[in-house]
Order: sequence, then C-alpha cells, then structure tokens
Amino acid sequence: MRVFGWELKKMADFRILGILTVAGLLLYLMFMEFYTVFGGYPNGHPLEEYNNTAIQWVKTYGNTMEPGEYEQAKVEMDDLLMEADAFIASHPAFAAAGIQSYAQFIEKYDRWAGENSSEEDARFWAAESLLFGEESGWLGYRIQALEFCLGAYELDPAHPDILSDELLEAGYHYFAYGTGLLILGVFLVTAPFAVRDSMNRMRPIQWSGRMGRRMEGLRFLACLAGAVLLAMIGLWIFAAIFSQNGVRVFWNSRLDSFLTGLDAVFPMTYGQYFLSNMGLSLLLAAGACPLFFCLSQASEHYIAMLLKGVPVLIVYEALSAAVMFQAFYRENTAYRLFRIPGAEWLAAGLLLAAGLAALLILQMRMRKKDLLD
Amino acid sequence: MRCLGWELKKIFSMPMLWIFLAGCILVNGWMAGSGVSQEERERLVYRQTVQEKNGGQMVPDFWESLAKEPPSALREQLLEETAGAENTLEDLNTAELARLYLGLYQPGGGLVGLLEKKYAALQDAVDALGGEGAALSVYAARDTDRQFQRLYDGLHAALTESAFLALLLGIYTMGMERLCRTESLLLSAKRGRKTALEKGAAAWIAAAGSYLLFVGFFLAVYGIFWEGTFFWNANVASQFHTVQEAVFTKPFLTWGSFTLGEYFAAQMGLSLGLLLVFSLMGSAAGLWLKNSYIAFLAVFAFLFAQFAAPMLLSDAGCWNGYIAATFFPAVLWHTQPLWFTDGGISTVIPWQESWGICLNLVLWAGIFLLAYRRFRRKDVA
Repeated sequence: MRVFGWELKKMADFRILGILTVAGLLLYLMFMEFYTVFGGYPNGHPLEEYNNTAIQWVKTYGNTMEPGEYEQAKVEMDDLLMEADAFIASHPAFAAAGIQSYAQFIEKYDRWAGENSSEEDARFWAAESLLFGEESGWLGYRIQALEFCLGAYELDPAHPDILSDELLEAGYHYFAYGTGLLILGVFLVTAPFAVRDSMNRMRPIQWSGRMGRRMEGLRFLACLAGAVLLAMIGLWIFAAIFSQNGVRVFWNSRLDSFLTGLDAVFPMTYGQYFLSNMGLSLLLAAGACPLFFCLSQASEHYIAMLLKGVPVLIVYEALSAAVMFQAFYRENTAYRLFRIPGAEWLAAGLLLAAGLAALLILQMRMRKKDLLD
Repeated sequence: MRCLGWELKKIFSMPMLWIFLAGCILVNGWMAGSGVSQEERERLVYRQTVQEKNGGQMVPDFWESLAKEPPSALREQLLEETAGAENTLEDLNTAELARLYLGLYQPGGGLVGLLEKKYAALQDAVDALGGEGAALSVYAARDTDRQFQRLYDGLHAALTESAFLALLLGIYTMGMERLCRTESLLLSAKRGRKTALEKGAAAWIAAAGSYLLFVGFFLAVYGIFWEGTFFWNANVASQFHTVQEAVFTKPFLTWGSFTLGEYFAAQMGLSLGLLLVFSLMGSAAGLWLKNSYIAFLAVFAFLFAQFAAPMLLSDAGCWNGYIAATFFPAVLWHTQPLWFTDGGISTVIPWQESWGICLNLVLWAGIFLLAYRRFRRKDVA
C-alpha cells in the first residue's frame, strides 16, 4: 500500500496539473461553454423559445402530455395570439405597414418572405423585427415555438413524454467535447508516468526490490487510480455546470419524446441517459490510461513517448468522439457499426480491452527481460 | 558543419522518428488518394488537356478552339460552365467587402480603421488582377474549389505534422545530452555550449526536410490518383475559386497575381519560415527548462492560448487585443488557407502572413538568443 501511495503521489506534479488546468479552461471556453451559457440553445432564437416551452410544459403538465392537457396547451396559443394582437395594435409601425392583427401579419409574411426591395417591404420588415425583437419579449419566436411543439404532439401523440430537443442536442455535443478534454487530461498525466522512471534509470532498482517485477503491475494500478480520480473530478465539474440548464426538469422524461428528432435505442429517462453519458465518458477517459501507460513504458525518453503518444491520442480522441456523439441513439456511429443495443459500451470496452491487452503483452515481455541487455 | 552533421545524425538515429515519419506519409498518402471519383477525374483530365492545347483564359479564342474539339459530354459541360464568363474582378468594389465584414462581426477599437484601410489597399490589387484578366482563368471550372481544397489539405497536413516535429525536435536536441548523461562532457569540450546553435539548426533542418518530404510524397500520390491534374498554370484568382464566409461567398482575392504553381511555392516558402519559428520556440523552451516534458507542455499551453486568443478576445470585445492576436504563430498556422489573400477579419494588414512570420522570426530568434545567453552562463554544477 505504501508503494501504491508513493506511485500515486508521483502523478501529483503541480506543474503538469497547472498546465492542464489552463489548457482545460481554454478548451472549455472555446468548445464547451457555448452549450451552456445560452442555456443550452446553441443557435439562439427561436431554439431558446422551444426549450422554454418544453420546460414550461413539464412544470405545468408533468413529464408527459395527455390528450386533455394538450387541449389545455392549445389555449396557451390563443393567449399568445391575443398578446400579439395587442402588441400590434399598440405600435404605429404595424399600422404603417398595413397590419392590424397577427393573422394579417402572417398572411403578409407568407407573401413577402424573401423580398426586401420596395418601401412597402421595408415598412413590413421594420414591423417584423419589432414582433421578433426584444421589445415584444421575442413574441414572434414564442408563437413559432408553441406552434412547433403543438404540431409535434399532433404528429406523434404515441410518445407523450416532454423533453427539450435543444437540451438533448447541446448535451451530446457537450459530453463529446468534455470526454475529449478528459482524455487529454488522462494523457498528459499518464504519459510521463512510466517513462520518467526509465529515464532516471530507476527500473533496475525497482525490480531488485522485494516486490520485484510485480511492481510494474502495482504502478499501473496507481496510474489507473490517478486517471480515474482525475476523470471523475473533471466529469463532476462538467456535469455540475451543465445540470444548471434544466437537466433536473427533464430528469424523469423518457428519451422517445414527440419533441425530439432522434431515435432512442433504450426507453430510458433523461436522468438515466445523463448518468449513462457520464459513465460512458468515464469509461472512455479511464480506458485511455492502459494505452498511454503502455506507450510510456515502451519509450526511452519523453520525446519518443510524445512521438508515439500524440498520434495515438488523436486517433483515440476521434474514436471516442464517434462513441460519445449521439450516444444511446440509433444515429450513433458505434450503434450503426455494431447494430446492437449498448454498442457504445461495447466500443468503449473494446478500446479499454485493446489498451489492457497491449499493456499485458508489454508487461509479460518486461518480466522476461534481462537487465543486462 | 561537422557538428551539424553529427547533430542531424543523432536526431535521425531515434527509431521513433522514422516510425512517425512513415505514419505521417501514410496518412498524407491516404488523404491524397481518398475520395477519388472516376467521373471527376475524367473531367479534370479533359479540362487540363483542353487548356494545354487552347490556353487557360476564357476569351473568344478559347471558346472557338473548344468548339472545334471532338464533341463529347465533357466538352459540352465545360462549354456550359464557362459560357458567358465575364471579368468579374474588373468592377469589384472592395469597400463593399469591408462593409460586409464590419456589418457581420461588428468589431470595434482600431480594427474598424485597419479593416477599412486594408480593403482600400486591396482595391489596387483587385484592379491589377482585373486588368490582367485573372478572373477569366478557367482553372478547373466548377471543380476548382474542390480541387484546390484537396491540394491545400495536403499542404496544411504537412505543415501541421512538421510544425509538431519542429517543436519536439527543438526540445529534444537541447535536452538530448542531459538524457544521455553526456552534458558535462560536451560542455567541457572546446566547442562546448556553442553546440546549442548547431542543435537548433539541426532541429529546423530535420523539420524542414520532413516538410518537403511530406509535401513531395503527397503531390506524388495525388498525381498518381488524379492523373497529374494539378493546373499549375491556372490563376488562383479565377472566378471559379471562391471563399465561403459565414453568410456569404466571395472571390479568392490575392494581393498579387499567382498561378497555382507560384501560390504553392509561396505557401511552401512561408511554411518553412513558420517552421523555423516553431523550431526556435521549441529550442528556446528546451534550453530554458530542464525537463523536456514540462518544456513540451509549456509550449503546448502557450500555443493553445494563442490559438484561443482571437476568439476569446473578440467575444470579450477587446478588439485591440484581437489585432495583436492575429500575429501569433498559432493563429498564422490556423489561417494558412487564407495566406496571400485579403483574409477577411482574420488579417488586419496586407500580406499579414508574410509580415507576421518575419516579425515572429525576429522575436523568437531574440528569445532563443536570450535563452542561449543564459545557457552559456549557467553553472554546470
């Protein structure tokens, strides 16, 4: 246990952890923050309104929408239309464009979409920007979103669960990038682990100890424990940030919702899906450890290790992204490849197994290696 | 010179380097040979052959000669794609482009003035291109964007791989003696610490050699798979060559007139300069920091911060910082597809990539010399 502790301590190099934190923060700001700061609506309006409508519906009707509740939701549209009519009546810009009501606006909108040349057109588009602007509280977009959500239910009432498609989409992008970042972290921490001792000519000393060459197995376990710990901390931070976006609201909604466009493999709830994503992410990040440890052990110095490790890291990142992106949906690359439920777990398991097999072969060769060679 | 040879020998005696080179060559070869479509290849071969016979400018003579070619679907398609082509650069107003960029990104600070000035200067270049009829170059007609993108991808991959190598070899050469426990021995020799200069030079030569090898191999494989359809004599400012911006498409506007061959030669020349910047960066880090891995991580984080800077600074509305960030080596690497062109909002002055790389060469040579000076005074004990 004491040796295990010493080996684990070697991973806590504050220079490496400091650089990892800086790089992680930059990567987060560049690629992941986008899916959280706007509340998980990557493309702004009207996606923000779609998301808000779904959140509002869960709060009002629960996780599923029953036919009676749908009738009630339709009344919301009447309220919104009345609000729109009142807004149109209160603004002279609409009168100038010859618009007296929302129905009239839509009629003109359908007729004039795509044109913007005459003075009349200019007046119409000025009015349109008011209705779809901040002053109206994005009223135009709210109506569009409600129309879309009601229409989606009419098309697919057999899947009554309410789940925001925007949250789902932001989620699988976020977790795919997050996993990439965790793998990078595992690489940066794991890669120098074994090669350092080799460079410092520590192997003969370590192997001549009471534990002998079994020490290599213990060192790997210490390295794996460090990698898992690091991945868990990172994952916990990412999940905590993302869960501010209404994750808890949809926790009990099933994935096969009338509001989502993807085809779920398992009939699980969003909460189960969220936890599954976290588990898969952890498996992929920790699964990279044996591979990088093996490459590190097979290198004579840092530069040789980096020449091996960086290309392998790029390939591993690409494979992980394919596994994580749209995980647990039929659109996922691993699912399309294996065509079995849980294909993502299988793919992640295979990556882990490949790393472990490579490590096992290397360790067996090391056990037979003559120190005098 | 003898020392330089030995240093190069040390670099190339690292087995992993050969494996890395072989891996990169394989990846580049795969890039050159993937996505080959028989139909497109036949079209490109026809277009190149026709231009070799009838010239590559869309002028009345070209169409007359083309009409005399044996009738075929390929000829009809080329006639249809080139029919009624006009010199689109003759009346192009670059101020309009500036207005589009300013409207799209709504920058502030000194960037507005710089962009307006840059596009005003571009007008002269565009007028010269227009006068020369650069836009009338047939190039690969409507296949131009795809053909150029394929060739460019190979160039960019080669630059990326060799830039990584330049950094690593810079760090490696400076730390190699420590690694082999020969540092004290070497430092006590007559040439002593001056070998750091040869080590730095060897790192760059190895990276530059790898770059030339990668590009050469890529072009050879490309030539085999695409039957030599390079269009080296076509003007890159052909009207078929476009740049896709966020919400609009614009012509490929270069600061000077370049045939594709000249453009590639210029790209390769400048890439060697950028490789020297990365090599100096790696060497300086290797001299400064004892631990090669920490040196790599420091350079990695530094380059990553440079890469992120334009996006983060523009998001924060710090446009003057953004202007400075466009000169960072990592940003210059990233904007390689826009080298020698107006560069949109990614560049702020004409020929920015050339000026930027010269500036970085001076800066990093200075930093390397500082590190070298410190190294020369360092106590071995």
